[in-house]
Amino acid sequence: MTDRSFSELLHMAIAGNHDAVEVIFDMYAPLINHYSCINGVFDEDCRQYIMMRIAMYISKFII
Amino acid sequence: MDYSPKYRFRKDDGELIGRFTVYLEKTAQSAQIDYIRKLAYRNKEMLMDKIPEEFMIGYDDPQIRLFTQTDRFNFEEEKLAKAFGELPLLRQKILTLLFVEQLSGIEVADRLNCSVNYVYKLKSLALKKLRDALLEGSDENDG
Repeated sequence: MTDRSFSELLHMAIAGNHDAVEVIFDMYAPLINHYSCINGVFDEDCRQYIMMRIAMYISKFII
Repeated sequence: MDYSPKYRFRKDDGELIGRFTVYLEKTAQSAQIDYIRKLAYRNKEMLMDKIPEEFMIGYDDPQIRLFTQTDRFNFEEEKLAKAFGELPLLRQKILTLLFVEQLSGIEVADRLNCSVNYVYKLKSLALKKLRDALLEGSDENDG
């Protein structure tokens, strides 16, 4: 997964490649963590919920 | 730990990264809002004060009334025992907690998950009903 461009990575994630989705999660971890805070407190359940939603909706992104 | 980048940037990827970041941010934001809504719905509680007594379990069920704690009061007056038995279950419970277990109003409110004012309101209503039942009996005897 290290020697690929972002568009290739995204194509693979949209196609349902788990490793690619994992890399995207790692890349966007700060954004996910930012939205996982409720009233200034980090909520692990919320983080899981957001990650599930992203995993579901990543395939709907139109390149 | 491996901090090496897991992808390479290309010049033409900039626009795609921008669009994807916005898409992901919107998705994360809507997921967060949904999660907060679900959490609020799950935690929605209703105070007992708001529930009419007739909707409470066992209010009119004689089978359930068998298990009430009428016998915990050592009633000397039969009329009083009967009047107590006719009280709604919650009022019986409140009187028992207040007079038999000798809890304070705050402790009773804590135990029943309702406000202190509601406890005292039901207590005064129950006592009034018991008083009326006693007076009713004595008036009949006097007459």
